[in-house]
Amino acid sequence: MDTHTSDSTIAVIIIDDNEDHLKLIERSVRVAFEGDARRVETHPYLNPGAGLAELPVHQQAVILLDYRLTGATGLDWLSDFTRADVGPVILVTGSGDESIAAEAFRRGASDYMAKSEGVQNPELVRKTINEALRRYKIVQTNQDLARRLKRSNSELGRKNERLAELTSTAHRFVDDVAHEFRTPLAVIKEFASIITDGIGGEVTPDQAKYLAYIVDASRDLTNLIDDFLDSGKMRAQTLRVDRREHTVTSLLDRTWPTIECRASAKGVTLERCEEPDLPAVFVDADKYRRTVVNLAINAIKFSDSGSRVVITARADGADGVLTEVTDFGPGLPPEALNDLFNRFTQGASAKQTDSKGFGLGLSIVKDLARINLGRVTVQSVLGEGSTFAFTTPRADPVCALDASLGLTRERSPYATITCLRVSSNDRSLVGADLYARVSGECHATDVLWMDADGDSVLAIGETGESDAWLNRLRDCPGAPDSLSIRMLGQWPVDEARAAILELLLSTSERLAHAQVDSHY
Amino acid sequence: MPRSILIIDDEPRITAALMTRLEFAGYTVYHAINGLAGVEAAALHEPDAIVLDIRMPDIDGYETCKRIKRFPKLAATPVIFLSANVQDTARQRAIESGGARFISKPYEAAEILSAIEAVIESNPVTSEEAMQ
Repeated sequence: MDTHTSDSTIAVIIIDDNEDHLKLIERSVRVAFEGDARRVETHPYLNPGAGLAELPVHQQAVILLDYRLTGATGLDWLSDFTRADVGPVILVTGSGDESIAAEAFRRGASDYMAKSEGVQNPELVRKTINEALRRYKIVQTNQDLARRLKRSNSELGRKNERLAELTSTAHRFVDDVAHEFRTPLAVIKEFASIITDGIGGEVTPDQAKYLAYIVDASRDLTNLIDDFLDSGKMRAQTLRVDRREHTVTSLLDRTWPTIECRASAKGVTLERCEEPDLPAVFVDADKYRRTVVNLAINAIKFSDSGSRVVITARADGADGVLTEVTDFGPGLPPEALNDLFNRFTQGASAKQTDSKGFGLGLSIVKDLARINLGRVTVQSVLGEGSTFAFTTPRADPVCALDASLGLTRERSPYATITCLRVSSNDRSLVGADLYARVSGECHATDVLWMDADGDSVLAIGETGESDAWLNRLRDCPGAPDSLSIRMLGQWPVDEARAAILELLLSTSERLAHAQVDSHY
Repeated sequence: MPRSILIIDDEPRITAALMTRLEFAGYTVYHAINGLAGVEAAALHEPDAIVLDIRMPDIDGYETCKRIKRFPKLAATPVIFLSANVQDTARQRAIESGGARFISKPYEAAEILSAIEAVIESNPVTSEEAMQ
């Protein structure tokens, strides 16, 4: 089947400085395309320069260029004709010149044809020209596609930039809103406290009670703002995560002022019980604080005045620390424990009026604990009280790796784990600085460790996010120009542990966060 | 002689609440409504401690703190950051720019009072004066 029926006219440019040969080839071309649906025009030239100067611009053309020209060869003219890009160039060779075919192709010829055969066999001419046109068209289409791809790529790049801009604007907006809420809230709460404390004059017991409601409600509102912010950011996967090595003592110290005043306002005693010699943990300090605050607020809420809430930190085997919040309130029935952490996330909650002020906090607790590579559990006895506990991994790459893989495996046994190395050639960036900048933009499920050499960090995360990873890291405002990312490998979740451990243990992977050897 | 505190915050109602609270606790309180005025007030009054906001219209709290710390006579003056920006990065930057403590808004009165007391106590310059 002829593939060129749609191209109505073909200009065949014939270049040969021998007049007789020129006529013979022209005749062969005419014979070859006799009765063809397309109109074939022949343009014979004795002088290649003249042929080049008169190449048709708006028409499909084929150039038959003789090899043996006076003063030069067809090869010398070949690139001039291919550069003109009006159609395929077929080199017409004399007998015995076939050896130059390879050079002809290298210089851009579509094909070659022995002159003697071409003159004698119009069918060969027809086939050669049609084949050259077909190939030329494919190349043209490819080039066109490549151009379009390049265009849409750069368009995509622009859209990506815009998206990054929008995300960062959304980030700022959310932070701004939180900021704007907190300031008037501070004014309301503090003036209510000032009046309660009698600084503005004597207060009646009733007035003090009412003022205490205002203070308490404003504390609730403050915590709710934090919950909404965290929950929204987690859903949008824009919550910043910055896991580092912390001691549990410093973490609880930072948490204490917030929960102590909540307890004392309710007349509840807050007790702190820390096991000695606890290992440092690998967590985002702010997420740890928010987890404890949420659990403690719930515990205080369900405790009667005069009761106790105990916060305990103890070793969780050799792999981490368990933080427990125990109340001696009414406790929960067994059937309530199952979906306790899922309220407000699975939609069933709307009907459950008893979950007021309870669900959002707990579902956030679960997510926050997860960000710190841990899980939340609850034990409760009706009439005796409840203990909510969450785990945090020891500040050791192997412990953090195991904690992270355990959580991933729970979600899907088919997940693929990606291991990346993020490094910078900028020597002014010490490891901690690089780590902070990179982890600040990191997705919540990714784990990061800092290299002891101080110029790179190691990260693991689930597949599918690796592209997002690359974009996010490269686009993050604090990222140094010299940031580079190297994919170290991808494994199914069940095979990832051994492979990543090997990376961790290899000599180049000396890590600052823990002594791997002592543990493994 | 009563201890003196300088409050630098662009939100007058926060300043009013803090002044009420701190004056009642026996402190002499000065205040400034922006960072630059805060630097001037710090140099003028040489307070025992400074309570400093972060987001302000002219220079932010971090820059204000750095500029205050450049005066040799104020280098040891403890600065408590008090901000509605509760991001960990804000906390970190506050400490990096010379802050002694970071307290988030809404704050607990007991927390701010004990923080002020603690930073003044732990400042070698002021505790030496107290000894004399």
